[in-house]
Amino acid sequence: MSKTELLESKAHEKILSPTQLMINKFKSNKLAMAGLITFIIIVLLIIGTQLYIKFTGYPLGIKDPSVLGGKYESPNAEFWFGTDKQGRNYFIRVLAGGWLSLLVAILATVLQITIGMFVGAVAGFFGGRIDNILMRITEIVSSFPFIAIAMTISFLFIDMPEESRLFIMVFILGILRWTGLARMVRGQILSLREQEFIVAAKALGISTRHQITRHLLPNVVAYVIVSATIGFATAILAEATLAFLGLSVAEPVPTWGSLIQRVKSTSMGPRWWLWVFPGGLLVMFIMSVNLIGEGLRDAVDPKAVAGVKNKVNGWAILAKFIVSILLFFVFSVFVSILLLFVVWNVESIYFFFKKYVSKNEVNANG
Amino acid sequence: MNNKVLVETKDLKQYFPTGRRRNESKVLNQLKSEILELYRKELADSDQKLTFKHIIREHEEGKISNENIKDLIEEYNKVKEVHKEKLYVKANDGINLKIHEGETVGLVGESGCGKSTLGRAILKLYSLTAGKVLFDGNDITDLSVGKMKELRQDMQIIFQDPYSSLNPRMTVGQIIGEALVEQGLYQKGSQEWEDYVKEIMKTCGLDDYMIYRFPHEFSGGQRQRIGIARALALKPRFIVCDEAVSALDVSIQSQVINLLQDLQKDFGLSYLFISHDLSVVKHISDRIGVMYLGDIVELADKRAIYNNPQHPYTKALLSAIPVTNLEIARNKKRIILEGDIPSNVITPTGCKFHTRCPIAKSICKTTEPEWREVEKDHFVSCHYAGAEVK
Amino acid sequence: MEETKFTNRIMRIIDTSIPFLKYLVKRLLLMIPVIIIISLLIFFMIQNMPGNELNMFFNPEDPSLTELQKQMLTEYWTEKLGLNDPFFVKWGKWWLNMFQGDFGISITKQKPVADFVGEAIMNSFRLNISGFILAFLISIVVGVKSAVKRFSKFDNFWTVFSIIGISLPGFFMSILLVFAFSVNLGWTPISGMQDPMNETPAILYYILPVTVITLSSLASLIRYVRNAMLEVLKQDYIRTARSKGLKEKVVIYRHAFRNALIPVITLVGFYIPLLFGGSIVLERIFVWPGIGLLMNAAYTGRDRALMITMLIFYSFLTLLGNLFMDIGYALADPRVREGGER
Repeated sequence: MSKTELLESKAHEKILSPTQLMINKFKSNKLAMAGLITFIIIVLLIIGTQLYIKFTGYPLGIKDPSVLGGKYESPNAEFWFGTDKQGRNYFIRVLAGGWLSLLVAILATVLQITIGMFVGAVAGFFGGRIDNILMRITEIVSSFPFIAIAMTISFLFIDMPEESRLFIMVFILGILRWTGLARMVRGQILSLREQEFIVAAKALGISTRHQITRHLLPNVVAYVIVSATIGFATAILAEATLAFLGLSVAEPVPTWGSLIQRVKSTSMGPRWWLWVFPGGLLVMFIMSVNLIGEGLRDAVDPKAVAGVKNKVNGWAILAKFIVSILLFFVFSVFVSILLLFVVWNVESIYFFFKKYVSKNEVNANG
Repeated sequence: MNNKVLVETKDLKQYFPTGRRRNESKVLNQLKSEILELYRKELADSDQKLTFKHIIREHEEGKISNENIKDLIEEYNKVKEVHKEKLYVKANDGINLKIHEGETVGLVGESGCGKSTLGRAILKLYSLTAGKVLFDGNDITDLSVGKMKELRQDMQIIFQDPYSSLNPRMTVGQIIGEALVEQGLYQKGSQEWEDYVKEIMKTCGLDDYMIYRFPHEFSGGQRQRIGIARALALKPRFIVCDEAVSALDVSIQSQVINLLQDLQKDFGLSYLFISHDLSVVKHISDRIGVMYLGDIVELADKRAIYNNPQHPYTKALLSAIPVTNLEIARNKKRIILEGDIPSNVITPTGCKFHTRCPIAKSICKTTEPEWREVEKDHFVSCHYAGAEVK
Repeated sequence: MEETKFTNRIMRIIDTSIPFLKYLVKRLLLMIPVIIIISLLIFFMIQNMPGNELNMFFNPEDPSLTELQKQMLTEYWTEKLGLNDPFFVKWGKWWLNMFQGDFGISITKQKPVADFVGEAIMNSFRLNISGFILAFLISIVVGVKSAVKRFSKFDNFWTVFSIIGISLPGFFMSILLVFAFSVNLGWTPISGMQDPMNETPAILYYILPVTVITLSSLASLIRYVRNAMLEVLKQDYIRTARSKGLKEKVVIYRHAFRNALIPVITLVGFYIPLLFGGSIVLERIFVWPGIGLLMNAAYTGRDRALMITMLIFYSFLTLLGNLFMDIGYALADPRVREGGER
């Protein structure tokens, strides 16, 4: 190969930007990709259901006999997730509950990022007195006991109409949970300011605006995204917990937490669908977000080794995608069946072990 | 080399606040008790209840005749003046330096002596504490950001660390070309812009197909060339090379240095070459300045420095250069400095070097040496310049 | 001679600990404004709760009361509760009373708050300490082993375990456990802390709540310990220790583990105050008569005195946690107490 040929071939080389490197690294992380796919499927299901409710005017609260089934029907062809006490379609209710959790979590995360990034960036940039004051405020907010304060705020507005309670939840989750992000952004900016390329930008006569937008922020964004993902997962969890305490949006609008709350431990066996579906979806959703967050964290971490992605053709990606969807479904069905088997047959399993374990059962039942 | 002065600093001082204050209470208390004791001994029959305040008042009124007590009180007042003073890191403590057009001035010294700070202060990357910087005869000390931006075309810097000095999220083209657009020399994304960037890259020994690559795809030496290309793209007249080759291995060091020298020939550049590597500085510089604790202690032509060093610190530095010739090495005397480099927060009084100087006398402790010309163009600040060091 | 040696040693100890003591005093003083601001905010929120506080103490619609009696009752309670005082006076009075051990009167319990809070704290503490010890013991063993055998089957298992653990909401985990072990199997009681008839051993009541506490904190703790250990194992001095030819056991337990323990211990500092506060959700599910249950009772009964006490108590615990963590960092890292950035 002559030298010009070599140059030619190099001119057409594939150049990987740091962002592409991160994406490649993320893609090669199987757990994270499984999380992403799960996440996308659940979100699509939720949005689909929400569109269906919107366009058909499906009533969530009113007992419209045309959409009602019998009381506590177990899952069947018409009602995939069974029905509840009022005979309402549980499938619609569970996915509508997801919509609310999703909405609250997204808005709360946006609020968290806005406050956290603003406070962190201002504190990091200006330093000195401003930094001191802002960090003191951050410290105060971070010493609020989260659940207790959230309960109090939610209680303050207990008389508000249901629609606006959504925004109360967003407010609570946003206003109490930005401190970690603010600290992280501040630390990042402080360490970036020491880097020589920022000094170089100044020496080259780059304007302050461009120093911030071109040199500082792009190097912080990746960390913000990671932290936002984790924040998103905790927001869903916190919303569900508050809903479980009866402090989120209440009836007739469902959320995952409030759906689980209505289940009595005594009726969990026979009416398993009332908790298996919202609970399962909730756990799977949070887990998928956490997996994505973990994957992103590894991808962003410069110390971890970059995964080099070989050239793959589109068909292979598509095939892989379909296979992973199938695998995911098989996996989730398998897990559900296993869960159901355990739940239904806990007693027989117990009797199986009872031969080996002698135990006074009467005592425990009392 | 013509003799037009390009860059000049006049008594440049660069202090950084430490956020602490000077605490001399121990010394003060000791002096106080000494004075009281002396006073009572001298005037044993007088009132024993005399307090320290009374003594001070008497001193002010000129009633005290005892010389010892007077001296002690003077010293007490001196210490009291500096007590509670805000503390600064004195990175540069009055620097006078002239750099002519087309010449290279080397700057050597221990780490932490303020070499890099001087380089950056000349480029006004810090706001000066005191003193002046003149560029091309014009005072640039208090220029506004906008005016300074125009001047940045003429003065540039090459950094030490090839890893942290390039933004990891920009392509090589963007890194080199950003300032060209920002300074309004070229249209962003235009063909001329790209051609110019490629040309500069070639000048610096980088292949032009690399223009769309990111810094992480380069080796340390290549990254340093990118840094050089970035500085050169603006066609500056003066470049500060801040330990520009220290992070590279020796074979690449020589490549980069040759590159810098070729560029100097082509464009008539002036360099301020900062390094702690004496042999590199010897190779590239025309004149050499030796820094110690924020001061330039000796400044002279390269040959004069190496053949006829005047300042004991310079002598000590030069004696530390390893020699390959055994004959010379056996006869060579090594001057080993005792102790550590003192803190540049509370600097020694008088000559700053006296704490470690092998030939220090009592005058060195009290009086600051003058900056004087011992030979033509050979400046030293030492009371005993040229004296034999044992 | 001996004496001077001794005094010298004492002086040296004092000299070296002075920066730390200075830092400690500064840190403690900084807590005061934070406590004041937090208590003001809490007070403000509680004052603006919906509902009339007066109606909690007597029923104005009670037909057995005459107009005069009603008026007298109103006056009495308004006076006693200081309802007409301005906001800051109320707030100041509350602090004054609190320093004298008077936290106000709880309506739901019809008793002074101070009388029953102590017992609740003890109940919560008993529960938390068992879960805490278990979680820390397990997580240290598992975390260290996962870090040492990174990417092994063992490590992968616990990684997946902790991701599930982080994703599983505490309330859902509790429901599942109650369903499986109490309802279906009947091994453990469904809720409560003690059998009123004293027939079931008390330890059975502990099993489920302690399991939930352990499992839910285990997940994040394992990852924390693992990351701390990995960070240390990357260091050069570990490589040096290995290249010296030390046994792997010595390298890991004497060199790596000791250093990895520092962040873990600061985390313990953070957790210790929290042991005294009960989990609101958990104690509600298991009807555990601790602080969390009191908090629930305060909200259902709109019990203002109890609410304020609980909120201040929880805030104080969180503050203490942060304080202990900072002290831990300062002890471990001298740069922190020197005053941070220049």
